[in-house]
This record gives sequence, C-alpha cells and structure tokens, in this order.
Amino acid sequence: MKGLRQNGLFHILLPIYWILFGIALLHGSLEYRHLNTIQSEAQAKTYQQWLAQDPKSPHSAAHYGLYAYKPRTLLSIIDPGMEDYLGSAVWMEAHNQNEVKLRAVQDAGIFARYGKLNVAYLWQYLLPLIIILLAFNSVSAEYESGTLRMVLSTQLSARQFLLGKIAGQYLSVMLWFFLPALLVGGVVIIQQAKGQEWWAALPGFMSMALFYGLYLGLFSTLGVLLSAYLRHSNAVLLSLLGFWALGGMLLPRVGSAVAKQMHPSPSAIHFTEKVLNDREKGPDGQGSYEKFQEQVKAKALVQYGVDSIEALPVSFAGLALQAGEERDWKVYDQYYGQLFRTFQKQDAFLARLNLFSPMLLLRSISQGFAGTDLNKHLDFTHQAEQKRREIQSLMNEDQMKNGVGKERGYLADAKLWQQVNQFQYQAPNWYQQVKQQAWNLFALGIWFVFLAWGLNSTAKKLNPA
Amino acid sequence: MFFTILYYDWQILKAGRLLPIGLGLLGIFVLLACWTGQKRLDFQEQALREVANAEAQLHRESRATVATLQKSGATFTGNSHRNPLEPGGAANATGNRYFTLPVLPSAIIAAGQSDLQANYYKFSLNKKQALYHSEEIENASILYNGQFDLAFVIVLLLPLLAIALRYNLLVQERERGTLSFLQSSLASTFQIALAKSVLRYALLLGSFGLLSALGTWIFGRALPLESWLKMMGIVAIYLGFWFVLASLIDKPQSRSGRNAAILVSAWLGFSILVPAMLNLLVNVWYPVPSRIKWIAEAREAAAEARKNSEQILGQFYEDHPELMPKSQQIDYKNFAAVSFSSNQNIEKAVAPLEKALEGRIAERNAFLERFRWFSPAPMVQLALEDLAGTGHERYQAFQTQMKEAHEIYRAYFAEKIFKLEKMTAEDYDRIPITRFIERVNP
Repeated sequence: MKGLRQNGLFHILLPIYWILFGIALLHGSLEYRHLNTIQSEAQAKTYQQWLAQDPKSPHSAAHYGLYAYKPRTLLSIIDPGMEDYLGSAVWMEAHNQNEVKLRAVQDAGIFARYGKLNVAYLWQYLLPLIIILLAFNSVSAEYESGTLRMVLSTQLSARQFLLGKIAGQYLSVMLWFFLPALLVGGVVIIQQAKGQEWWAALPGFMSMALFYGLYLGLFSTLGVLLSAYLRHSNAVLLSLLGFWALGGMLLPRVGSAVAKQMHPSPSAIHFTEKVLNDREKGPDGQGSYEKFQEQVKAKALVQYGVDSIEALPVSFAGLALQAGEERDWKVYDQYYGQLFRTFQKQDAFLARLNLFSPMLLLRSISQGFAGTDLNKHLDFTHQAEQKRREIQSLMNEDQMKNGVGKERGYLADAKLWQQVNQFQYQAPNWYQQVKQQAWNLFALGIWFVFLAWGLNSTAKKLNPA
Repeated sequence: MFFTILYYDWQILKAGRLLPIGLGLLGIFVLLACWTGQKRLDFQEQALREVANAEAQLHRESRATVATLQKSGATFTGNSHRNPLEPGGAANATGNRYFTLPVLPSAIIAAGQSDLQANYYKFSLNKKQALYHSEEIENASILYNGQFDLAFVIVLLLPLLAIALRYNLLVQERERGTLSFLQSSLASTFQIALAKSVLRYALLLGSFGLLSALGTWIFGRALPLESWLKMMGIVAIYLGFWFVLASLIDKPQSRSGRNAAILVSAWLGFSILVPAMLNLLVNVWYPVPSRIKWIAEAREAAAEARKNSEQILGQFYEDHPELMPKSQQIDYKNFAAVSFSSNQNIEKAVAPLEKALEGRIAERNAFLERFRWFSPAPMVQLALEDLAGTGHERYQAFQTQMKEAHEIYRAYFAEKIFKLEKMTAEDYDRIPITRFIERVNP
C-alpha cells in the first residue's frame, strides 16, 4: 500500500477519478429527481383527467384510457443502466396492447451513442483500468529489478508474498477510491429518498456494494497474478489492457450481433402487420370481427335462453366488447409472448458470454439490483398490460350490467371512473432480484474459483530465477 | 538512410509476433464488422420491402373492394372504422401510405441513428405527435450494447492497434540497448522514429483499406469507390493523430509501461470519457423537455375538444369555407370530421411544447457540434455516420420531410371528409405518395 501511494500514477489518477465521480453522482442525483418529479406529476395529472371525465359510455372512457409511467428507482442514481434505451410510458387503452414508448435516447442528439457518464460506469470500467495501471508491474518489476530473490529469501512464502501484493492493491483501491465514494453515494441516495424509499432500496444498495467490492478484488488478484505469471511488465500491461478492452468493449457488441442472428426479432412492420391480421381474422380461425360478433350473439342467446338481443338480461354491447377484448388478448399474448421470449433468449445468450468478462458480469448484476435492466422493464410491461385488461373488463362489465336496453346510449359517470385505482408499479423484491441474477452470481463464483487455482499454481511456480 | 531503416525495420517486424497478431486481429475485426453490417442492412432492407408490399397490397385490395361496391351499389357491412368507402376509414385503415428512408450503399460503414430512429412511418389521420411513437422493434440490451460496425473498428479499435504498434518504438530500442547503436549511424533519433512510425502507419492504414474493401465485397455490400476513398481519408487523418500522439509520448528516456499507460488513458479519455462528459454537461445545461409532459397536455386538450366538439367543427368550417359540403349542412355526428378538427386543436395545444423540444434538441446539438473538437473520436464518428447516410442531419431531413408528407396525406382526405364525399376506386389511385428526397450529399 505504501509503495502504491508513492507511485506517481496514483496521484494523477486519484483526483481525476474523484472529479469524474463527483460530476457523475451530482448528475445522477439531479436526473433522478427531475425525471421522477415529471413522472409522478404526469401520473397524478393523467389520473385526475381520468376521474374528471364527463358522463360518457364506458367504452369511450376505455378508449380515453390511462397512462402507466415507469418510475425511476432510487439506485438509478448510481446505475441508470439501460433506462435511456427503454421506454417510460405506456397508453392503456381499449383494444390495443401498446408498446412502452418514449426512449430518452431518441432525443439525446448527436452524441446519443456515447451515453452519459455515471457512477456505475466509473466503477465498472474506470476502476479496473486504474487497478490494471497500478498493478501490472507489482510483481514483474520485482523480477526485472532482481528484488524478488531478496524478498523470497526471507521467511515469507510465495503465497504470502502474492497475497500481500493483492491485499495492498485491493486495499489501496478500496480505501482511496471505492469505499469513500460508496459512502458519499449512500448519503446522496438517502438525501434523495422520500419516506421509506431508502429502506426498500437498502438490500439492493448493500448487494451492489458487496459485488462491486468483490469485483475490484477480482481485478486486483488478476492484475497481481498475471504480473507474477508473465514476469515482463510490458507483456502484463498489454495482456491486461487487451482483456479489459475485449471484455468491456468488444464482447458486448459481438455478442449482440451473434445473439440477434441466433434469435432474430421481427421488424416493427412485420410484427404490427401480423398482429393486425390476426386481430382481423381471429386467433383460432374465428373469422372476421363481424362473424365473431354473430358467434357471440348466438352463444349469448343460447346461454340466456332468449331469442333476441333485446331480451337479454345484460347489455349485448358490453358482452360483445368483452368477448372482443378477450379475443384480442389471445393475439397479443401470442405475439408479445413470442417477442419477449425472443428478447429473453437473446439476453440469456448475452448472459452466457458474461462468463468471459467480469465487466459484463458486474454490469448485469449492478443493473439487476439497481432495477434498471430489461427484466424490470418486461415486468413493468406485464403489470401495465394486466392493469389495462382489468380496466377494460371493469368498463365492459359496467356496460353489461347497467347498459341493458340503452346499449351504446348508456352513460357512466365518475362513480365508475373512481373504481379504477391509479396504476402503481410493484418492483421485484430483493429475493426476486437475486433469483434473476442467479447465473451471473454463479459465473462470478467461477471466476473466484479460477483465481484461487491461479493463486495456488502461480505461488508454486514463483521463483526468482 | 530513411529507407534503409524502413527496410530493416520491416525485416524485424516480419520476424516478430506483433505484426501478424495485430493485423490478424484487424482482419477479424473488419470482417466481423462487415458481417454484422450486412445483417443489419439486410434486416433494414427487408423491412422496407415489407413496407412497400404492405402498402401495395392494401391499395390493391381496398381499390378492388371499392370498385366492387361501386359496381354493385351495395354498402359496406364490415367494421365501420375500416370502411373503404369513407375517407376517414381510408385514411386510417384501408388507404394507408408509408414514408420511408432508403438505405444508402455506404450504410455498412456506420449504424449511426438507424437503430434508434424510425426508418419508416405509417400515415393515418392521427395527430402528428403520434408519429413520434414510430420506432423499430429492438431488444434494449442490444441497443444498449451498440453495433459492431466499421465505425466502431475505426473509432475505438484502430487507435488501440496503433498504440500497440507504436507506443514504445524508441523506448524499446533503449531498453534493448540498441538505440545507441542506431544513433551511431548517420540517422538522427527523429529519422529513426519517423521511419519506424511511417512503416507501421502505412501497414495499418493499407491493411485496413484492403480488408474493408475485401470485407464489404465478400459480404455483398461493396462500398462505392467515392465512399471508400472518403472513408480512407478520414481513417488516414485519424490514425495520423494517434501516431503523432504516440510519437510525442515515446521519448528514449521514458519507459514502455509508462507510455502504454498514458496512451491508453488518452484513448479512454478521448474516445469514451470526453464524449460521455460532454453528453452529461449538455444534459445539465440544455435538459430535454420530457415528452411525458406532452401526454398530459394532449389529454387535457382532447378532453376540452370533446366538450366543445360541435363548436370546434363549426369553427373549422368557418375557417375553411371551401370545404363546406354541397348540401351546405354541417354533419356534427360525422366521426372523422369531428375527430380531425379536434385533433387540429390538440396539435395546436401541444405545438408550443413541440417547438420547445425541437429548439432544445437543436441547442444541444449546436453545443455538441461546438465542443466535439475536444476529442477526435466523436468527430470521426459523426463524419462516418454522415458518410453512411445514418447521421443526425439525414434523419432530421427525413423527419422534416415526413411531417410535410403527412400534411399532404391528411389534406387529401380532409377535403373529402369535410365535403362529405365518398371514396371511389380512382380516388385510391390519387392518394398522395411522397418519397424522401436526398438533400444532404453524404
């Protein structure tokens, strides 16, 4: 540790890191507050608009619909993850399962692809690079200067020597770079939290802290072991930088290209045409909407034992609308189900590649615990769609019950609108997050087993000759 | 002397491992980029073909249905929202037109905005704000990771290879003890460094040029000569920058590790941190007004329009007396007319927010344009995107023309809707078709 602090590079990297960290944290915190204010205001306003509707037919109200807004999590201050690439609002209206729209990246301008500097990025990419630059000659320099012979001639074993080097690297990075930053980050998060939010976010925050800590330990160990194994500082540095660049920059892009070829997703035009076509023709060969309406009518007459629509004890308009909705749900379940399964297969392939890159592993784990990954987005999409269906059923049942004899002329009022609660997204709990990250945590474990083996075998081969 | 050093250095390079490894990696990177580029363009072109087919098929079927109904004098019995005889049904369902952005032959160079922005829009009577919801379906994880395209190889990977080939040319001679031997010849240290740098620069540039030409050809996406030459011009300057920077760092009294650390830090700073920092600063100084606000505003206006729909429709006819029906009677129950005139009001209500957003995006881009000189990486990235026809400017032109085309499309149907006219088979042939006109010369 003492030796490291005498390293000139350490004194250059430390202030650069802290300046970048300060800016990234401040921005993360401002952005969180800004976006959550907009989101909660919009959510409240659109709900008020829903409640303030004039008397109208329940189906007209269903068309007016409601919006579900995806809230930003408190931990997105540290790791905004994929949020800019995911939509943030979905219109819950009659007949249509809409996609979650409004990706921030579309308005980000000409530098959109570079992303915005954030704390997680610094911890995932910059800190390992700093470790590499500080650790690459930790043992090789001892070889090159001939001091290793002297060190190993003492009572110190090779294993103790390597462990000492690793501990020195690790503690320096933890004490000067990571732990104080984690503390500052925690304070900012507490300050931004409302009410009990902080307690809800605590398990995720602690998990992130733990895994980032392990991750930095992994790089410290890797740096020292490679330095001992390769013995030539230049070779160590180039190998570590190559590993960093390949794992952090190259692998995700190559992986994405391969994942897309293995599990191709449809184009928007293909998808919408298929959905439209199946909605028009019916999912089970039911025929056009008009034919389907005839089937619904015939079934209703038999069910209620009457011979005309007028004699039905329920509003046929409500009955037909609900049957139409349920027919559409089958189509949506089929196509959106296929689409989301394709995304999940692509993600599963990318997760397998994470095994080859600790950076990608940690990126996934961090986004998972921060609630800024695709899993949470799909969960939000699912909950919003369930809410949409719940609203449609409520509107149609009201039409069925109260629209007898008036059919489309029936007007519902605020009493019905009030029966619809405001949409509240229920985020997965910590246990569910851990389950979603099971593979990544397992892969991280494999890395540590590999490094333990590496430590053992390098220690055996370490000799000053 | 210069050429002698060049010759002997070439012999040393040939015998070593660095050159075959470096060029081998470059070959893999370029071929991978060409393969992913081919797949990306195939996907985009396939989507555009599907758009064209969907448009043609819809037109054919709707026209035939209308012709049959005209001939028989029968009325349409299906879904009223899809009635092909009604201009409202035609505009929203049976006569849809698309506005598409063609893929340029040079698009393999950079994905640019092509996976973030819509490449085609479907027109209907909807509010123009609804068009902003158009986007291609893509897994966010894949979007987030970014594309492995030639631009990525050029902007991020070529500098790393340049650093690997150049970072310790002089230091290495000193470390090996051969520098004094070289200096004892007639060549100066500068000449030695220059000859070695020129050789590596030429090898890297030449190999990239050859591999990119070969790779794009193998994958059936050969670049037009002009585009290839422009790309190589950009690459030559960019590689030159990294070689000059490496030369400034590589002093005989330095150390290899120190050189590598400084150059890689510079690469990280220029290629990733500076652009990400600029992005962050522009977000603080010019925050984008959220489109979420539009939603509440549009719904407010929609609720208001619903309450006053008759008044709005009456006002519309007052403003457009030329659209009065022959009967001179306003049909206040005409869904399409009420909906169209109400939508106009909603658009007016949202227009200030839209203008603010567009103004802010322009301010952000102006800021980024002004400060992109801080780093060569985004400069090169943007130049390559423009060359590929996937840059911001072309997409902006596309969106501007799309909005104009949407207006033309709606105006065609609005006339029939307000005049209470029916659609004929011939009317289907007259539905405006507008195509994108290239205004930017990539």
